[in-house]
Amino acid sequence: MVRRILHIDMDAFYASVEQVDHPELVGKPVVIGGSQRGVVAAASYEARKFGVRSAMPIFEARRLCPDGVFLPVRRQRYQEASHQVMQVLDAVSPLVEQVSIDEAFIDITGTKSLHGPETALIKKIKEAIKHRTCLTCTIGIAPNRFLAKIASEMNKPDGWTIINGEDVAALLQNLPINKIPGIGPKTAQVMKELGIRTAVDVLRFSQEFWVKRLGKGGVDLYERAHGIGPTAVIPHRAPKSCSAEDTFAADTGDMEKLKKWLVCQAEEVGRDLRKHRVKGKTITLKVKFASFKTMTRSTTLPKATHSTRIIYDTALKLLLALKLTEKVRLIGVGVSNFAVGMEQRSLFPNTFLHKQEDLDRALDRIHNKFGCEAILRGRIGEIESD
Amino acid sequence: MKIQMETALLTGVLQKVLSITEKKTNIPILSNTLIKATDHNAIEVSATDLEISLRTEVGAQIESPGTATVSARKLLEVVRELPYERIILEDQPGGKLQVHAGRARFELQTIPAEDFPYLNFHEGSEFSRCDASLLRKSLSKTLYGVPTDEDHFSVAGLYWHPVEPDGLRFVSCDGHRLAYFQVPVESFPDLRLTKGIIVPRKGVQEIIRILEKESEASLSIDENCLILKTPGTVLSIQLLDAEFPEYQVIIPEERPFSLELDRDAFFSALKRMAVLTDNRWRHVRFSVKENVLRLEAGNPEIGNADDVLDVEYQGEEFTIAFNVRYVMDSMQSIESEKIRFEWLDTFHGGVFVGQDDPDYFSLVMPMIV
Repeated sequence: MVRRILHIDMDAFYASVEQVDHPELVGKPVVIGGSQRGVVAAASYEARKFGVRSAMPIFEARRLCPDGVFLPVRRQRYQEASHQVMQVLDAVSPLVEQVSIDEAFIDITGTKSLHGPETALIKKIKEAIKHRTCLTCTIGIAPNRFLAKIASEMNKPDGWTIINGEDVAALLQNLPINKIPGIGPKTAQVMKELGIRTAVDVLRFSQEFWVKRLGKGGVDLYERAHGIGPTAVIPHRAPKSCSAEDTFAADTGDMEKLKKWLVCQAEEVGRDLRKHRVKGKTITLKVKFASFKTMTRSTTLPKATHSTRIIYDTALKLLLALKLTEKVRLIGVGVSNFAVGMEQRSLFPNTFLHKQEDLDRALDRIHNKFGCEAILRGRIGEIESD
Repeated sequence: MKIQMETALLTGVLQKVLSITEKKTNIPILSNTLIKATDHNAIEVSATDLEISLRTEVGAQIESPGTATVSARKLLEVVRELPYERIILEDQPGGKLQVHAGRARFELQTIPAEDFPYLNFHEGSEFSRCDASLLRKSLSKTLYGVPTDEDHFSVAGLYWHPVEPDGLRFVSCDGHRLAYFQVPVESFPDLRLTKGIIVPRKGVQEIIRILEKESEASLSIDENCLILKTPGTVLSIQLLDAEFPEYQVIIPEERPFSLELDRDAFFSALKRMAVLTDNRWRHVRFSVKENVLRLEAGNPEIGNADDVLDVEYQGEEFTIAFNVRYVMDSMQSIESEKIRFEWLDTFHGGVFVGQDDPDYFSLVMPMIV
C-alpha cells in the first residue's frame, strides 16, 4: 500500500498564541524571547517582514524592528495550546508522532473512507484546530516524511500542499538541496563546490560516489534525491519499563563476575530512571543460561525506587535465590511498574535511603560532566552475599 | 470419643477457632482443631498457630470421652451444611472422625491428638479484671494503623504504652501515619504494665472478635505472653519482641494552624473524592483559603473531582495532599460530631482530632509531588 504521511506545522506558533491571548497585538510585529540567552524564540509573520528570525540575538531583532512588541517566553501556555492541537490530531489516526511543540507527523494511509479525500481531511483538521485554539497551521501530505515536511513548508502560513506519487519527480527537479533533511552547512559546502543546486543534480553522481564522500549519509542523500524516505510514524508512548542486559563474551558461573555485571546494570538503569525522574516498584532479574534456557524473576518493593543500590540489592537477592546449575550466558536487570502521582512522606526519615539518594545524585553529576568512566562504584561490587 | 451436641453451638466455636488456624502452613496439624471430651457436659475446642492459641468450652453430651484433631475448615464447612439441630461426632477405626446427623454421614481424616502442640495458657498467672467494652473500643479505634507487614520502620503490632502520670495509650503506626487512644490506667487496675508491650496485629483482631460477645474479661501478662480470659474462653498471644518507634518525637508540638469541620460532611466529601482515586493515584489535595476548604482528587487516567466545604478560617492560604484512605480511616475512628484538622507546614504530619473524643489522636504524613 502506498503510504500517505501528513505533516502539520503551526504557523509562527509562540507569536500566534500571544496574539490570540492579546488580540491587540494582531497585525503587529511580535517577537518572543529574551529571557533565555537573549535570542529570539519566535517571531510573528509581521516581524519576519523586518528580517527577524528565530535564534537571532534580541539586540539584533530590536535593531531590525524597533517598533516590535517584545514578549517573554511563556512555555507553559504554549504547551497547553500544543496539547489542545495534539488532542485534535489524535482523533485523526492512532499513528500520530509529535516531533516538537508545534509539529507532528500523522500516518493517514487508508483513512479515506473515514475522513474522505485528503483535501476534506485538511479542511477538517484546520477548522478543528482553529475552533479549539484560534490558531492556524500549514499542512503537507506526501508519500513519506521528508516530502510531507517539504510540502508543509510550501504554502505558509495557513495553507496546504498535497504531493502525490506522480508529482514527486517534478518536485525534485527544482528542489533546492538545502531543503533535503540531513544536509547541514558542511555538506552544503561540499555540494556547492560540486555545483549541485537541486535534488536532481545529486543524481548526476553515483551512489558509490556519495557514500565515499559522506559515508552512510551518502545512501540517505541518494535516496532522498530519488524521493525515497522513511515513512514510519511512531506514536510517542511513555516508557513502561527500563532495563539493561549484557551477553558475556564467554559463559560464566563466577558469582563475583555476575555481581559486578549487576552493579553496572543497576547503575545504568538507575541513571536512566533518575534522568527521566521516574521511580519503579518492580525489579526484574533476567538470566539466560548456556543452554539458552531463560529465567526471569521479579519482586515488587513496598516503595518505588530509582536508587542504584536498591536496584542492585534487590536484583542480587533474586539472583541468590536462583539455583545456578549451569553457566550463565546473559544477565540483565529491569525496573518497571512506575510510580505515578505523589509520593507518600514517611513518619520516620530513612537515613540509609537519603544517603543513597545523595550518592546517586553526586555520581550522576560527575558522570554527566566527566563521562561514565570518571568514577565507579568500588565497594558495592564487593558486598558480601547475605 | 463420642459426642452429641447442638449443631449451632459447634458452628459457633468452629468459627471462633478457624481464624487462629494457619492457612498457609507446612505443619498440617496447625490447620486442625483439637477437640477434647473429658467432662460430662462440655467439650474443649482449641487451635493454635504457635504464636496465638485459643481454647474455648462449649456444652455437649459426652457419651464416651476422648480427643481428636481434625481440619477446622473442613469440619466447619460440613457442619454448616447440615440442616439438623443435633449432630454426633464419633471416632472411627483407622483415624477417622465420623460426623453424623440425620441420615448424612461424613468421615474426616484426623491427626493423632498426641501430635498437637502443647498449649500454654499460663493458668497459674495472676489475672486482673478489665473493662471489656473499653478494651474492645481502644483496640478497634487504633487497629487500622497497624501495618499488615513488618518493615524497617514499622512494627506489625499495637503498642500498649503506659504514659505518665496515669494513662495507658494504644498506639498504632505504619510508617505513614500514627493513631493512639488513651485511657486511664485504672481501667486496667492490676495489669501493672511497667513498660510497653506490642501485641501482634492478628492478636489484636482476635481480642476484638472475642470481646464482641463478652462483657466480662480479665488479662494477664506472663513470660512475654498476653492472656485474655472470658467465661469459657482463653486466648494466649505471644508478644512481639521489637522496639516500637519513638513516635512522640514526630508529633509536631506546635500546630499553629487549624480548622474545624463537621465530621459527617467532611467524611462524605472525602468519600466522593475517593471515587476518583485508585491504587496508583491515592491523594486528595486540601487547599485552605479564607473560610473555605477545597478538596481535589483525580488523575489523567480517570478524571478529576473537586469539592468545597465552608469552614471558619482566617489565616494564610495553605495547600497539602494526603492519601485519601488514611484521612478516611481517621474519620471513621473519631467519635465526634466536630473534628479539628491541625497543621504546622507541608513537611510535618497533619493532625486530626475530635472535640468529643479527646482521648483519640491521629496524625497523617502528607504526600509530595
